[in-house]
Amino acid sequence: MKLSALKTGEKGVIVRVMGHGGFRKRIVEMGFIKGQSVEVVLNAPLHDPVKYKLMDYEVSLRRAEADLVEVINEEEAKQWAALHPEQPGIPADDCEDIVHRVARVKEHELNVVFVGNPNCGKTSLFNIASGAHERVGNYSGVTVDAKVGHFNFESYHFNIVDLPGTYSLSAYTPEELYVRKYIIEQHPDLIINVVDASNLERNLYLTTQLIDMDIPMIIALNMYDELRESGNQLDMHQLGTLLGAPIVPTVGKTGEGVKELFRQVIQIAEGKQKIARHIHVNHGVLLEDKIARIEAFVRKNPEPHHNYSARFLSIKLLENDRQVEGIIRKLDNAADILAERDACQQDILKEIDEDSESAITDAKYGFIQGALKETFQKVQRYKRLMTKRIDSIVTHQVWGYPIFLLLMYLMFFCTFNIGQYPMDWIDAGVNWLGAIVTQWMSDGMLKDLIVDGIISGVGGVIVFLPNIMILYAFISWMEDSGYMARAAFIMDKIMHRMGLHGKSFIPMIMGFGCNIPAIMATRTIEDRKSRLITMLIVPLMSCSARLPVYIIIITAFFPKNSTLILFSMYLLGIVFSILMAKLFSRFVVKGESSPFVMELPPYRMPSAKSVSRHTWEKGKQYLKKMGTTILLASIVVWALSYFPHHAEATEEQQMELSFIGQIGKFIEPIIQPCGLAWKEGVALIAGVGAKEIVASTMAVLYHGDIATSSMTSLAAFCFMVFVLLYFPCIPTCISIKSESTQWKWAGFTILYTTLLAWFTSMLIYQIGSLIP
Amino acid sequence: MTQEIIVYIILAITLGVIIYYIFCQLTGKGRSCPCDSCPEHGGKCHCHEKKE
Repeated sequence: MKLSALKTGEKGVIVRVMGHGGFRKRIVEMGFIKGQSVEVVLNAPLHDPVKYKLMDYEVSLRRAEADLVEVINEEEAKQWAALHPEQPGIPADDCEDIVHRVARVKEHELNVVFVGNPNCGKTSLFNIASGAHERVGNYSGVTVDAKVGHFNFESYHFNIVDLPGTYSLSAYTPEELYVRKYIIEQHPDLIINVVDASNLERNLYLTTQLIDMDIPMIIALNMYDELRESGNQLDMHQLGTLLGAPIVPTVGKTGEGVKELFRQVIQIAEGKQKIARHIHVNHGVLLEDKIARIEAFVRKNPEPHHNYSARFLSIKLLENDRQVEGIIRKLDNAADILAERDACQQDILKEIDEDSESAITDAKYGFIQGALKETFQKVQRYKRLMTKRIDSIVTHQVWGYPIFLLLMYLMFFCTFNIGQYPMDWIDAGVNWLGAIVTQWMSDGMLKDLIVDGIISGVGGVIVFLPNIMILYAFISWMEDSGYMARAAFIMDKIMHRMGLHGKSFIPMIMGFGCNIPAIMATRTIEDRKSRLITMLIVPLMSCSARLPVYIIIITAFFPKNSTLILFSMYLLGIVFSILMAKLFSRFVVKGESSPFVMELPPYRMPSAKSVSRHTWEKGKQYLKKMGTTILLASIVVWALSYFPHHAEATEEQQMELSFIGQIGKFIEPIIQPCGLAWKEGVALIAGVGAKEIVASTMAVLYHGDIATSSMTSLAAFCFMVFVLLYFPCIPTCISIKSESTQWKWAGFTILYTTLLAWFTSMLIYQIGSLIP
Repeated sequence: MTQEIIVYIILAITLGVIIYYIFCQLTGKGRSCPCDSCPEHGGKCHCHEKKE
């Protein structure tokens, strides 16, 4: 808890002191140090400042200052001790002692954040350190929010946070703002700046901005194996000394160097690391003079630089950072600070004929180039040469598209044809189970529920587990190899013509797996217009939940052209999404789209471990869904088809007289123009919760054999098109709401997708019926 | 008769789980914390504090 939260008369023990530079130094000198007892003596009439007693003297602090001191009181210590019974030496009953003991344990707690450029391997290091299985991939923007992990290492408890990748700490994109805000508000003890060893110059730009923020930092030189293989030489000790942050080489793929990294983190926390110190990135005489002038005005206010370094604020003011301007405007001498900033900017413009923002960027790159000239020897660029060769083929003007389509076709061919074998084995297992239960149980309602409801419903969907895992293995392979970024690159021109951003293609392809993370991934798109349109069209991408429906239909109606039909479904989704994007950008969402600035990472051979882990995670999720959502839906659908029960009726008559039959008959006129009958209508309604339920409902309604359906091939195709385009599942709608922050966009998506599904299926059916 | 009783119990449990799920979705109770993916809160909010 914060010191400011202690009530009058209450005691606590200091766990850590946050804040910056002068403030931190002053407060520590006053005796606010770890392990020290502090007591609230009294609150001033307006609850600010507060008088505290420590070391037998009294001192008053403002609440804003007390907010930066973390303490633990007796109640919190007891709760903590009860929650951590495994912690040795903490008696839960000895009240006086327990606070100090728990405080001592908590002093050995370190909050560390991973910050770095996109695709530099932060999440890989985070996963190795914390034992988590967060998603990684060889393209930027895989992590879109903060992931938290915990682990113990050498008597310390680490709370580590994986932040989204960012190229800088400016205020242009949501990730940049998010990372900056997180660092400032959460007061991490230390930053692990992950730097891609194969791209030092660009990665170190963010490092120079982190140095400005004045927070203890260590550099993880990740993908060090690539640097080693390339033959390039880097004097890490010298570069670390120049940057004021020790550098530890790491390899995210194998975990090499991760232990040493956290050993060094502990050394810094204990003040034993000599390289770790605060330095000033030298921006040159002119800029340094201007920064100092603004800083002098900022320092007149104690408040902001409790959280921010005054130098950081001054540099950001010169860069016209709107968010920092907002902070400054709240200060008493805001007008003076901003006037001084304006004067400095004018001086810079006059003297070097360049705006201050560009001048600072140039100066930072100058500093980096200088540091690298001293420490880095380039020998060859083996990996990039290979990347260039592959790129000359896969992003070729003519061959790029056919190669992309060929890879997609191959993916669906394997999904269907290779998946068919294990699918048949599982199907045989499900049938065997159904036969056993039928044979051994006496006739009755429970037997009907188990055989026709649960085994037909869950078994009808679980058989597609291998297909889904194969599809995911392919997607993972494409993501990890770096091909996915190329797919976005070659699609950029088409996407731009449709009023979208090249980056939009990445969430769209991610949508092949699941629409929800794809919608979350739209956060990496800078301009709101492209972001919103991408969010609206992602539900048209065929997610893996729709795959079971396609396979059921294709196996029954199109066994000879299975791959082609499956491929056409996915292609249709892409075509419709591009067309809808064009419509939306012209009529629904207005605004200019920003230029395409997506990084093309070097190709890397995906490790079998990484691909199999992603595939298994997906398989696990699918199995979990079988035991929850699909099981419940199968029971409900069975109950609706069983009641009211007519013992004398045939199976088909019973189905038509049941509740589900009545619902189906009620909606049948709406879907009849699309060639669909009431059973398909019921399956479509049930699929609103999750698309797999369409397949399980069909399995229950047709007793596991859809070939008995009276649908024609044309109607079956229309049914697949309807499933592809209609109502996104409810969790997807909730994602659209939370990402767009407005229910109206979720509502709009539901409405337009359903209307689009109906009109498209109706047109295909009606036109197709005319062809003899 | 025994089979019918078991089925009615299963249906009652199913209905209960569905109602509880809808209730949780509407009230936020039992739902995974929305701030896990919320940039505004950075994974820290009242739900996390309670859990911790």
